Amino acid sequence: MAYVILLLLLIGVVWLVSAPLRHAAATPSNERGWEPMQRLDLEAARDAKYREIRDAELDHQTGKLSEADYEAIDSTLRAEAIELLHQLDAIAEEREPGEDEARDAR
Amino acid sequence: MAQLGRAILLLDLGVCIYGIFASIRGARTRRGDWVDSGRRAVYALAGLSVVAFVVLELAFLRNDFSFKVVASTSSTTIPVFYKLTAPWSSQQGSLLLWVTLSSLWSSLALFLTRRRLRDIAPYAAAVLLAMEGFFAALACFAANPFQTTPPAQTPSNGAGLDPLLMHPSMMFHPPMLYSGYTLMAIPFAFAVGALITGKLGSEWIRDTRKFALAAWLCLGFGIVLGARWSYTELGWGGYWGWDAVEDAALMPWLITTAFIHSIQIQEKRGMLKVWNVSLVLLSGTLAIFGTFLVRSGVLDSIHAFGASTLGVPFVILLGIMFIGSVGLVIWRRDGLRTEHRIDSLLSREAMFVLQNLVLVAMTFVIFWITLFPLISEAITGTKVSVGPPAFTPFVVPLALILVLLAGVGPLISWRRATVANLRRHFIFPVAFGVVVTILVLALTDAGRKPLAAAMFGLGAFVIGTVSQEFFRGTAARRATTGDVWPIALFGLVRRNRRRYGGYTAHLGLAVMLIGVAASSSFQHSRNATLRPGQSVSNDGYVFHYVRPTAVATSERVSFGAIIDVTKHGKQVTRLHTMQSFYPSTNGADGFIGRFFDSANADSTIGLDSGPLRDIWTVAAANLNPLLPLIAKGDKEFAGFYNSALKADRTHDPHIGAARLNTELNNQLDAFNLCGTKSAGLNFWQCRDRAVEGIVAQYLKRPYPVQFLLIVSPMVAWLWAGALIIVIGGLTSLIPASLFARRRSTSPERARVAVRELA
Repeated sequence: MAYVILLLLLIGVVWLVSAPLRHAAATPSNERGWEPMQRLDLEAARDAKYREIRDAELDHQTGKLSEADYEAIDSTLRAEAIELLHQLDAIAEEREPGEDEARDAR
Repeated sequence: MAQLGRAILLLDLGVCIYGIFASIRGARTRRGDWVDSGRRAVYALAGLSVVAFVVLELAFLRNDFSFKVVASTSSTTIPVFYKLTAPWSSQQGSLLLWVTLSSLWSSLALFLTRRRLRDIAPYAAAVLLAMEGFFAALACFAANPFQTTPPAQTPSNGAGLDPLLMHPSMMFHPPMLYSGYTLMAIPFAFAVGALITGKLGSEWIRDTRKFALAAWLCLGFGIVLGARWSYTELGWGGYWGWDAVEDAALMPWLITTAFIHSIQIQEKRGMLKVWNVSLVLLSGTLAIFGTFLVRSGVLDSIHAFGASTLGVPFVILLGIMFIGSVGLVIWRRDGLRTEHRIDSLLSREAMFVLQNLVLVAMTFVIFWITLFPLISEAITGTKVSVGPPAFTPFVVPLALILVLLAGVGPLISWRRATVANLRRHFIFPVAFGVVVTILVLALTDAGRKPLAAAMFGLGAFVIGTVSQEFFRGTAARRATTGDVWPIALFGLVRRNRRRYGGYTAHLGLAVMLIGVAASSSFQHSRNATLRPGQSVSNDGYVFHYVRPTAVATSERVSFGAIIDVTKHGKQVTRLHTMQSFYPSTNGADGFIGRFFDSANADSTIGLDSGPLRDIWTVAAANLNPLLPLIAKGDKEFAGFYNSALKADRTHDPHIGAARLNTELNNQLDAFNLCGTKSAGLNFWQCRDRAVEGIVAQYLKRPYPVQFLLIVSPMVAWLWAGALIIVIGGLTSLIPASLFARRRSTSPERARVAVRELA
């Protein structure tokens, strides 16, 4: 019994780890499913910027930031966020149309 | 099935080696198929390890004493619940648990990043597999949980589980700690990957931050469960003894606390990259260091597995991790530089930096004092033991500063703050802290412990701060949305989970440290020896020893005491405490004496817990008056046994053993063992009767019993604070997608955002 279980496990492991190598011929292996690092980095920076804008807004609403400070910080943060979004747009335009939708659908 | 387990462990090792090769090959050749294959090796490792662990659990449940680990840590008499937890009470089983948990968490991390972190993830997979391979190799070759004994030598029953480990916390405490340790390996591995590839942007931080937070949460919860076990099981009345293994878990937790704060500065401002990556590498290394302390036996600890041969492999691993980490940071120092500077010292980021310094200082102090016995031994040849008094003068002031910063941080905005705003925000929390301090000083005797009084004041300041933050935030949300208070509060927390999860954790920390300060500084402890009917007072409470209790079962013999606690003549509570003795397997303890072996005993405390005070009692059974009876029983039963043995030695040894068994299992008619009427009973039944008879003597005579009686204020605050911290951590961990109504595409998000931001 133990030998049968072991054999099944061995077959399962080999099947699992070799699957990408077996299918490599059918799919271009170096680009499958990967998101470009540059875009991911920009998205991470954008999300952090959004959080910062929300934090500044909440700090202002709860009276931690003066009106003048808030306006200065908020306009700086929004300008930085727009710059990041433009960079993201530029990357998106370089890619095939519809690629993003296909990826997000995955 | 043991063969299956051993084969799986070897397969584990093979999968690790293959996965490392495939991941590195994939990363170097930029071949996605090899990278995928390497990642799948981690999934395979997780699956195999789970099967191996199930095989081990089944051996425990089936009482398969051919497994050495089952024979040494389980028995037929322990409850099923503890049979399930017994695997991790041993070095061998806990190594397998480590590999299983680590591979499961690694699989989750690599699955979530399977389409991201293209360059970093393969190296992270290789690092994770290398660490898991290390533990799998130890389980294979140094402490194999699937080692067996030949059938002829297989015992009919096991030695049993250490009584101290038969506690509900033991079901969750070790898996929680191990989850914390193994989760810390994930940010560590991704940090190594980021340093190797030079991709030091924000992406890897975003994807691994949640694992750092989960590690922090699991490790913290595990530490508190351990404290609870200590408080309710070890019979000394404390929950934290600055034990080496406790310290080993606390150090990576403190460093991770620093990291989950300072990482926000890197996310927002792109600053502190060297600092953050160093903290991640340090916490990963300290997690392995903690494991080294538990498993090597270099330092004495009640939590350690004792002396073992695993020290050297761990020292080598630690050396590689430490030197490799330092080397990588130095190599990538240019990529880790930042041009940004902190705008103002009156900003939240400045407070975070200060808090980080305090946490690192605290870790350094704990590290130094914990290792001091080893250092002193290396220099002077004498191992100096250190205890709580060595830690207190350093840790308490740092803890006070930490609590102060936990209150100040939330009151200051990011980037800059004006003095006028600060004044407005500080008024209520400071006033609250001052009023509480004055009340505490006026109404209690806290003045004799100034540091504890300061902790009350600072804790109240933090509670005031967090309350004010929640109130002002909810009010601001109400002003915007017009929602009623509860809806506005829910909406506020939902939109700002990290911020308000963090504030909740700060509240928990304050509550917890108030509990620690009160219970450690104002505890009233008294030792008393009482006979039934006698009383003694402690901190205004009168403890009356009503009567003894005694129970003998096949599992254990328990001697207890019923205590009535009164105050000003009114009954407060009735407590039952007992000490239980589990039969030892050492033949030298005697046929009767093995049931009364104090080395195989545990305590069940009598506890009345309330929000403002705990009444805690334990009794050490006084067996001295019973010793002559026990000795007499040992002598008589040994005499009978030896005479039967002698008679059977005249025959063939195998036949002799069978005859001896038959003789001992036959009904005895002609003997009167230890005053027990033996008619109709066999030798073993006679022995059980004799044990019951001795136990009954304990009830008949008013023997004096030694009690430890403790009245501790506010211990419950410690547990409540820990629970609040867990709630805060979980709030911060909730993914944004849980609240997302619809998933929008990247270009769509960008277009909407540009419109809104412009």
